[in-house]
Amino acid sequence: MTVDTWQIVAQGILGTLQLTAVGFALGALLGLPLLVLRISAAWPLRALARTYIEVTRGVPLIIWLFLIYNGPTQIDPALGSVFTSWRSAVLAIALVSAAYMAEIYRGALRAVKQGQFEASRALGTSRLDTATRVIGPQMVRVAIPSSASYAIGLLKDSSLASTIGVFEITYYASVASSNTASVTPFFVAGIYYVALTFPSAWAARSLEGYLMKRTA
Amino acid sequence: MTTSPALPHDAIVLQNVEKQFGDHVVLNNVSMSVSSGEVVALIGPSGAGRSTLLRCINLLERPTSGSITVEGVTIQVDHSIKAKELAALRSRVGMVFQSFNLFPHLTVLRNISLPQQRVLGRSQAEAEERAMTLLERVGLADKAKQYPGRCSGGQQQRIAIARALALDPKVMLFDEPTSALDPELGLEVLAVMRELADEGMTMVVVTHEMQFARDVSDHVVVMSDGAILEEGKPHEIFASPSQPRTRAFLRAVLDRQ
Repeated sequence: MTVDTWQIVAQGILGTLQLTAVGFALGALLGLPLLVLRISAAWPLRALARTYIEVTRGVPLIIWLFLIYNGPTQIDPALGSVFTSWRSAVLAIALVSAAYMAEIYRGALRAVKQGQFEASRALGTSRLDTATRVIGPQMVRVAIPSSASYAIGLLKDSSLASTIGVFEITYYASVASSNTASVTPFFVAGIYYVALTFPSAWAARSLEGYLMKRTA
Repeated sequence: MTTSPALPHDAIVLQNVEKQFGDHVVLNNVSMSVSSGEVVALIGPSGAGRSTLLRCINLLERPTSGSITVEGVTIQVDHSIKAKELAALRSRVGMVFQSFNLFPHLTVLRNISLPQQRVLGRSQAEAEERAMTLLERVGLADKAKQYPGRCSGGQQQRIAIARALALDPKVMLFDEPTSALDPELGLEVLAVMRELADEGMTMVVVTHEMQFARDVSDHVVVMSDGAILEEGKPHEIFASPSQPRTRAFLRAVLDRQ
């Protein structure tokens, strides 16, 4: 195991982090309108959101990567410059995370006691204020643990993006491995993934602890 | 705090209020009125529809039919209710719940100041000043910076009363305000309510606290099976109830002690 292997695989760390962070952030954002549709009073909107969530979660991420990366070029080869490896991977991760995050948000919403909605209504608070000032902050506290474990899972699942040529940890590991006919680069990649997930889990726990302390 | 107007007027008028959940009739054609400055106790067995009736007054529960007037704002429930009318009605009514329902993520002070800012458009300084005045009144000024989870049930309920009062309601509704509390903690809450009544606040109180109903209220309404069984002055109702059902209920709650 040479210093070289460590350096080669390390080139992908930033790519993995960026892909995960941008994809997850977009998903977390898109999950909000999806939640609004999912709990809408109008059933066609509800059905639409539900179909999106079930289909998106039902198809493996690697299939989405291939479909988004290769699909458009089949219609028009020029689209290849729009759907680059990086963009396709971010899009696939964002669309899939949006579905998962919407469900996490929905669980968090249900965890907020009915009395909170009633008290807010009885005080004459507008719907927007109720959502952003009363219910939203309480949902965040409930949603953090499951969002964090989803994001950490995503950090590892982002390795699938190596299959469409995104320059991240697993991509560099496979290149190094085929060049040297050695499994060592994958061992190094594994260590890097653990090194990245450890602080993330710790950060999530301390954020959760901080928020809990403020409400107790 | 608020001085009652020279001439009492109808603060709350409910006309032919009905509420059904499917086939189940919860309120069967209930009409009642409450004068300004009056304290009305709604008593009766659980499941009689008292809480539902109370929640119809600020339309937390939407009646199936009937009309509701609070301090001059009338809502016919069979028409569609405009958001503006609803806001106007709710701004006149404060409500206190059995389970307090303070916002756990906000400090005690923010619980009371935030609604003032968002609903009445007061400045933060103004809202916090008012909040502190009310906290002092309910004896909890030292809790201002705490989170509700750190307060006892009795303290939380007094904070909830302060939060409702901060919006300067004309009418206060209490839904079993002491039922979730130990007897001793309930006393602190009842003391605050009694003070409020003495100051001339119009109050409707759903309660099992018979002593409060007898000593503090001006008018007692007895409900059973979704209808008003009888109503009158507390001493009349407690001394000589006209309905056998009222007699049975009062015997059950009073002879317990």
